[in-house]
Amino acid sequence: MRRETRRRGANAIEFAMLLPLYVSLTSTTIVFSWLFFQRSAVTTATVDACRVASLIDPGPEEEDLGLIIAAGEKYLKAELSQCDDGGEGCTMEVRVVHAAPFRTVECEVTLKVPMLISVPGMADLKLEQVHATGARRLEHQVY
Amino acid sequence: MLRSLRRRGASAVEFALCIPFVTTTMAGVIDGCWYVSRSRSVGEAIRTGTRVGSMVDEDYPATGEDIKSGAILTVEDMLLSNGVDKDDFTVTATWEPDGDDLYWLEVQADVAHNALFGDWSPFNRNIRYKMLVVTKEQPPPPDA
Repeated sequence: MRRETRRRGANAIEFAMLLPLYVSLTSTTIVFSWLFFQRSAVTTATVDACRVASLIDPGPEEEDLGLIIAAGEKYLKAELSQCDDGGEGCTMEVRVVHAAPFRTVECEVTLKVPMLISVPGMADLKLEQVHATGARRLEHQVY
Repeated sequence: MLRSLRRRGASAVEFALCIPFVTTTMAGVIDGCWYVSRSRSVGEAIRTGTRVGSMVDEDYPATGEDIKSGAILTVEDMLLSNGVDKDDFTVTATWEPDGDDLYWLEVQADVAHNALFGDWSPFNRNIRYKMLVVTKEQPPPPDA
C-alpha cells in the first residue's frame, strides 16, 4: 500500500517530461512539411514562368526583350499571390542571359513564407526563406 | 522496499545508454536531409542545363562547342544561384556520337559537400550528378 502511494505521480511526471519533446517534434514536422510544400510550389512556378517567357519572340533586333521579362514576372505574380500583393517578402528577377545560340531566360524567386507555427530558433536558421531558380533557352534566338 | 531501492537508478542508466544512440541518429537524419536537399539542387541544375544544351542549334558544321557551353553555363548559373560556392563545383560536358552516329550530350557536375556534423558522417562526400540526352543538333552523316 505504501509503495503504491509513493509511485502514484510517476506517470504524470513522465508525461510532463516527455510532453515538450513530443510537442516540439510534432510542430517541427508540421513546419517542415509546410516549408517543403511551399518550396515545391515556388519551384514549379519559377520553372513554368521561365517556360512561358522562353516562348516569346524578342524580335529581329531584340527590341521586345522587355516582353520576355514582363511575361515571366506576370506569370510569377499570378502563381504566387504573395508576390502580387505589393511584393512584400517576395524578391523576383527575370533576366535574359548569354548569347545565341544559347540565349537563355533565367527566373529567380526568393519568398518569405508565413510560418504556421513559431518554433524558437527557426528565425536564426532563415528556413522561411524559400528560394528557387529556373532557366530555359529562348525558342527564338537572335544571331 | 529493498528491491525498489535497488532498481532506482535503472532508468537513468538506460537513459544514459540510449542518449548517444539517439543523438547520433538525429544528427544522421539532419545530415541526410541536408545531403538530399543539396543533391536535389544539383539535379535540378543538371536537368535544366542539359535541356538548354540539347536545344541549341549550331552553325554548320556543328562542333558541339555551343551545345556544351550552353549546358555548362546554365548549370553554373543555377548552382551559384542556389548558394553553391564557385570553388566547390566543377561542371563538364561531352557531345559525342554513339554507335549509330546519334549525337548525345552528357553533362556532369561534381559538387564538394561537407556534412554538418563532421567527418564521421556517411554523408560527408561529394555529390556527383550526370545526365545524358540526345541533342536537337545532329550533324549530317559523312556521306550526306
